[in-house]
Amino acid sequence: MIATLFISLFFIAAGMAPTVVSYYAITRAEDRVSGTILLFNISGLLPVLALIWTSPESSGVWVADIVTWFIIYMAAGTGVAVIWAAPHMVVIFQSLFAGPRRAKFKARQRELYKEWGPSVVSD
Amino acid sequence: MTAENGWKIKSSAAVVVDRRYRIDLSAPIVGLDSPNAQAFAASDSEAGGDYPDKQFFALICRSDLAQRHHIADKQLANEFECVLQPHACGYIAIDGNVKPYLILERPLGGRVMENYAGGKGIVEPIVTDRILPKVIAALASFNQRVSTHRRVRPENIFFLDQACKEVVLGECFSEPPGYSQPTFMEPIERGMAAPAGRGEGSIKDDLYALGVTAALLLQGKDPTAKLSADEVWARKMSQGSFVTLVGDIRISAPTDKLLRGLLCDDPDKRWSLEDAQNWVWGTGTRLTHTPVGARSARPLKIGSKEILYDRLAAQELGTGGDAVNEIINSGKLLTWVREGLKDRDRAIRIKNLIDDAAVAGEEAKSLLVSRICQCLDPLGPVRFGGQSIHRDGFGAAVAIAMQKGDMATQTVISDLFRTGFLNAGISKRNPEGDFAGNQVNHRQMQQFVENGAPGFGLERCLYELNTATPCISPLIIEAGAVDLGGVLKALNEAVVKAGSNVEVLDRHVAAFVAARSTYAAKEIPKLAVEGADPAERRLAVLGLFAAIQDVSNCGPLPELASWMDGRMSPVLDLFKNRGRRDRLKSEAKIAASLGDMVGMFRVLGSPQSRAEDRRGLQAAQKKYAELSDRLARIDDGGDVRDAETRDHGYVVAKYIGIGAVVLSLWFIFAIGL
Repeated sequence: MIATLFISLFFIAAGMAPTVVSYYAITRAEDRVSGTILLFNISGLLPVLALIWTSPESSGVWVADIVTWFIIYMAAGTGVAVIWAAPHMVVIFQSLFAGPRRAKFKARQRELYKEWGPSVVSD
Repeated sequence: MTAENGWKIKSSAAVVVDRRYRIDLSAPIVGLDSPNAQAFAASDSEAGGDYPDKQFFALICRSDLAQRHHIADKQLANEFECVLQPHACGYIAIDGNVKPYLILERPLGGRVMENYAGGKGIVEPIVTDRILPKVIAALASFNQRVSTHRRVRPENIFFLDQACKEVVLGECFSEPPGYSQPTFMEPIERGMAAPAGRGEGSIKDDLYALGVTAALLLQGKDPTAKLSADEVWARKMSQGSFVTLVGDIRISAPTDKLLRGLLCDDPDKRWSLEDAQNWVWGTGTRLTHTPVGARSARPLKIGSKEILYDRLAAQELGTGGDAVNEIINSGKLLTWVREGLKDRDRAIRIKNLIDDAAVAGEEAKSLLVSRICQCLDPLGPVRFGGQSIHRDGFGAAVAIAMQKGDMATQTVISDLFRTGFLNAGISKRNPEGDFAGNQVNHRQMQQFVENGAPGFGLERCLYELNTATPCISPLIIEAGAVDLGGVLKALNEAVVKAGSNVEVLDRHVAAFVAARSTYAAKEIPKLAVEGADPAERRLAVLGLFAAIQDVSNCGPLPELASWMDGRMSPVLDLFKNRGRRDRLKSEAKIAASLGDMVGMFRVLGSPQSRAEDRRGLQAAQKKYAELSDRLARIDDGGDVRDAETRDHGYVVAKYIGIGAVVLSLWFIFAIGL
């Protein structure tokens, strides 16, 4: 039990390295995405922790298995890739729905103009 | 009908005034006419009225002459002793004009003078025992309650009863103070002023006139009938008024004492009311004549006249003209004062005035003659631009000049006010300033005429100097409105006739309102600011009228309110929100239909509504700008470098991360770990 706990803590400490690194490496406030990386990090770590606790006698094996570490760090890497790709997806999405949005904004402007007259356009 | 009588009434109908008195215009009573008012038979139409034994007559006054309304108001509120009592006064429309009227008790015994016609005079005991004590009592009543009478003369004393025992003094309401008094009936200094400018004066002026009246009653004729005004003044200055007017008629010692006291030309030494009352009781000191004008050994030739007295020289110089300038500039006047009057001090003062004017500006030059006249005749009227007006006579002078449309006199008076010459204060020898509650602030008059904006100017002086004068705006002159409520009611009727393009707040209305209301006096200057927003100006006018309607309780004014409502478009345009604007417009219209300008101003002038509208507009402008930005971004196609796009992307990534965790958990439970 104590050994299993120790191994779990070891995996958490080493496996959360991408989150820690992202927290300290990304300095621009508007780019604080370490929370997202944390989520992906956890998603890669959870199966490994589950394996350790369900088969404690073979937890030492998982420590030495490179696939285990690959899964953990690839999950974090996937998070970084998603963070990079998401704005591009948003741009694509916006351009797909530009027409209806444009019409909606125009309609709202017309409402404002109808309510307030030409003075709403300028000071 | 001559121009002199052009004001007389042509109508012959009967009119009812004050809801009870019937004036029969077909029954003139020529014997009771005043010089500037026509007398007609009148009756109290209420059966068994308050005064069943009395008869009445009406005086219809000229509409182009200022009346002394404050006198009538006081007499209506109080019973004056030994004075013809008025019972009603107001305005009626006759011959297309609004004319002031006065209903008085009819003196059944007629005029005192007429009872003793034939040039023989009235016997002394009747004058001294029956007539003079009553007139003195009447003057005492006036002095105590209101002001001076200024129409004391033989024709204005009546017998109230048919038995000719009750003596009363006649009215003094129908014209400006001293206006129709013959020159010889006025003290020298008052008589030298123009009739319109003789001023309210003091009780001593009335007592002087009483002395002249007594002299005429005793003689039965005017002893100065064949003399010119200058000759009368010259005799008064040299021999004194007593000798000039009483002459050598035989009178008793007490009467002699009375007349010498009343006809003393020095106002300081002239008998006071107390002295006259003491005489009635049998006491009093005897005065002798002291000359009140300096006589020169040699004459001063001004034009075709040869002047011997300083005060007469002032009178002649006051007429102005090239001859006057020539006399002053050539040194003839100085020589005359120094060598003829033998008054070196005065000559030095006049020389200093001339020297100062030579180097000073145009204004000082224009005042040179006035200052010299003041030096020669300190008691006399102010002489300027050919006008001579007493300090306390400017109210009536301005009123008459404006009512008659006399632009020349108006210009002269305005110029005089502008110079500030009158601000120097009242001299010690002429301590009585304005009477009847009009404490004339000449400095304020100067400020008014210097400001050409509506609400100021000579019009403002008119209404400040004459607190009971009606508003003489051409728009409402026929209404004879004497107070704020009356002005609004008159405007209410006038806008119907004049149409929608008329400007109701003309110079006279603005000046009247400013003079009668402290609030208006503060607000009206804001209307005259150069470049003021027309919308704000119209709102200010509405606010002003609303305040006046509120304070005067004049009731609803639907026509005026509707007229104002028709001009409120620029005010409504101040509100940018269309919904609010439409709502306010309909609320204002409802208030206007009820004649409620107070309600209109509450709707349109509410600062909260304006503030709300402003805030709403600012929020709408901000929102509109935001939408414009978004539209611009959409048109540009989006950019991953755009902060908003990145933020949206990160949010999406976060949700995908949450999904990854959920997926991971599902995987764990699905494969049974």
